[in-house]
Amino acid sequence: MTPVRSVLLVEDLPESRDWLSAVAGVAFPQAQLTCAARCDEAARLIAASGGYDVALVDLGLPDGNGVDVVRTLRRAQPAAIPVVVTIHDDDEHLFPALRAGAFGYLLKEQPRDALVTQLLRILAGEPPLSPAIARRVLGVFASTPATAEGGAVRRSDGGWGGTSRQPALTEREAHVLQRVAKGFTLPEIAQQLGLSRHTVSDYVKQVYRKLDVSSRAEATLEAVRRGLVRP
Amino acid sequence: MTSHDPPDPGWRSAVRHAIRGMVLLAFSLAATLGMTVAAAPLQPQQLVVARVLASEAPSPSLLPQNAAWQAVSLPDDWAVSRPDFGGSLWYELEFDAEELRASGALAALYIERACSNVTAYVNGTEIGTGGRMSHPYARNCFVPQLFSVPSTALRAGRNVLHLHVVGNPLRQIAASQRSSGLSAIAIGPLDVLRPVHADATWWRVSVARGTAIVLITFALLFTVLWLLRRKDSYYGWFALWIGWWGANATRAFVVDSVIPSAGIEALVVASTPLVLAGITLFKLRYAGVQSRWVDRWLLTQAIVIPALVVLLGFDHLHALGRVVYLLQVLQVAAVIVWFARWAWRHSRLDFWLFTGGDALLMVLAAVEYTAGYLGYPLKIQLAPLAGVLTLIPASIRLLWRLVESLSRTEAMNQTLEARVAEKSSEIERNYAELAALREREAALNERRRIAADLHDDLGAKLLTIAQKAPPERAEVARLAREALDEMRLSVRGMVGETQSFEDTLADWRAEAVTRLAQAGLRAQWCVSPEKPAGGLPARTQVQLTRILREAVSNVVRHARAQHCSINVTVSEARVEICVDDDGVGPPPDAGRGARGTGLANIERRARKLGGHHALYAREGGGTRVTVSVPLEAGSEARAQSADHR
Repeated sequence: MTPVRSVLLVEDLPESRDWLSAVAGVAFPQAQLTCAARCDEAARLIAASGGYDVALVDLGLPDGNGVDVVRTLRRAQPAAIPVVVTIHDDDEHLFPALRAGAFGYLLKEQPRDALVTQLLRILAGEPPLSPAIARRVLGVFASTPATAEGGAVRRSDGGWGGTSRQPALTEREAHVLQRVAKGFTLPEIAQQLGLSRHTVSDYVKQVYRKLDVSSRAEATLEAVRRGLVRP
Repeated sequence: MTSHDPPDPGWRSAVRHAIRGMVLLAFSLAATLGMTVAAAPLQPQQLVVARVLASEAPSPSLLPQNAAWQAVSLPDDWAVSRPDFGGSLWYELEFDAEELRASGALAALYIERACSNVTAYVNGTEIGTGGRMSHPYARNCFVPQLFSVPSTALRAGRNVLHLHVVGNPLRQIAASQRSSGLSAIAIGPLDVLRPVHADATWWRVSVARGTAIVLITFALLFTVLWLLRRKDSYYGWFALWIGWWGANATRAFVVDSVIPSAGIEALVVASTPLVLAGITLFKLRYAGVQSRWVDRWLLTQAIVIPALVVLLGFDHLHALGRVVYLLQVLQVAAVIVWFARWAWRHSRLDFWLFTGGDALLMVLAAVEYTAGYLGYPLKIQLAPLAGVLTLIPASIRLLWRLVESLSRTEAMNQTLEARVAEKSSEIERNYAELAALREREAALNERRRIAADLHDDLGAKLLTIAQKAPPERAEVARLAREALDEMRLSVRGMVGETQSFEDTLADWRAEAVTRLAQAGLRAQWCVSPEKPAGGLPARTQVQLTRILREAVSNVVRHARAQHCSINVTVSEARVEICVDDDGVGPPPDAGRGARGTGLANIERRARKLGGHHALYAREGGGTRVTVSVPLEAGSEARAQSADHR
């Protein structure tokens, strides 16, 4: 993991901002911290700045949803790692954020040490994955053909899948996800599949990446369908 | 059916005489039989030998003396014996009344047919008349006459019978059945002749009158049907057809007519295009055929034939009638054949009913024609009878068809009503569903709003407490976090939908196993049956989630165990959770809830769900906590109301 030099914190509540600043300070001691309290402010900063390594984004912002900030960051700076910090723990709120490209989420009220540990684990490539989230991820990929690699696919409605790669889950990724959805923990799954814990985490990371790609592909397809973009 | 006489060939009178002879033979045979049975009443005398004189004299006494009487044998058909004659003719017959007088029975004179009218005189005394003897003559061609003879009029030895007959010349008569003439006559006891007369009257007059009434009634009925249903024009044409037929038969009612006989004859001939149009168009429309060509042809006849009648006058009626009748008969035959072919192809039922009737019509026409051809007087008027006989199957079929269409309409109506009822109930159902959905949606939106408010206000404050609590007051932060967690669960119970067992169990497993693993315990998770069907209401699910969380927390915090085994058993009516550990076992005062708030919470929540819990030491060490709650809806509400009591 490359050292984190620049952190963007998007949070409107002063107490939470202080609290998360402290967490970031402990987790990334050398990093420079930039704060934003609103979506538009965050968007300006993202557009102006050269590159953030990590972004901590609250979901409920005064002028919009943090999910948009996550999406903007992923588009503008693909190398950045957005992490959602929120008070909501339900998949209704979290799943859109993951689809927008968030690498994980933190629940704000946890003790500082726990937050730091979780943040570092997310950056190390162990994104959190609850059964509810896994079920939704599986739902997203269920309609996609189960090829290992996506490709330009002639769609049945006559449009083109275009050059965008419609990703599909590999068999292994699907197996891991199915087990997560059934309530097994990652160490248990590693044991069941005869894999190292690390490998299983890699699969989960891969799934996250595909989720992001898939959401982008879907957005592109939607744009093509609406005639906004010529493929 | 009307027919007409062909000219008289020589052999015809031979045939006629042969038939006449056979009839007489039969008559006398019957008379003989009757004599043997009925104790020999006196038999009537058949009078066939007569003298005839054309004279306008109004009574026998005014007949010219020494006139040139001609011998004639009865019956005397003027169409044969004097085709051009019309007017007044006197017949003189002689008979012996000795036996009649001796028997003392009332005497009567029976004239089977005298056309157009007759007045009878015995020995110069008038004994009866059929009606008016001057123009227009009474029309008695089909009316048998019976005159009683007063005993004073009879005398011993030779008696003279004068029959004064008036009639129209053949040229003014359209059909031979009505040609003038006098049949054979009989004189004898009234008692014997009366039934003969009654019988003949029945067949020759009453039947015709009855059929006329039936035909006109049906014609009216079908006219009404046609008026009500103009679309089905064949009802109208059928009414025209049988109406004409019925009107034609009403002549049987008219004896003393103010219209001269020739006028009626002219009317009949002139109106024949109507019956042709009736039959033709009825059959065509019934078969659903419309032909402008046929319509025009019929219209042409309806104009030309009356015009010809008017142009040619009364004196050519017979000739014109022959041509017109032949023409009509041929056309009707063509129509019948055409319709029979159509019916055979399209509707066998129609074929048998209509063509059956038509065939009957043809047969009767042939019989009447042949009889007329042979000059043999038929006992019965076939034309009106033929009308009725063909009318019956046709009427049955038409009414049948009407009833069929009524039933069809009714059935359609019922289907339609059923469909309407079905649709409206569907709409009502949809509306009710929609209303319920809206209500649910509204409630859910409201709950979501409350949930958002809870997160924003209460959540934010609890968060601040958790974050701002100083490190030395870790308990405060922990409580705030717990409160926040509680709040989340409450919100989920409030807005959540029913979740499947499979998903719920997966969530429980992930949380419990992860927490136990983080605490360094080895966890064992067991669900029976492996994949329970159905789902859990959100509130039940939330309460059970908390119960399980508390139970796991207790194991982690207090049990000092190495293993923890969680068993979830789902049956149709209940869910049972059993948490075992191999730790130090429950404290002695566990029953009084001294072991933190955890156990008390478990108890409270289980009770809220209408279930129960138990906590006891396991054999060989460790603690077992069991919670069992019912699944049926409303259990929570009942438990709550029980709480309030």
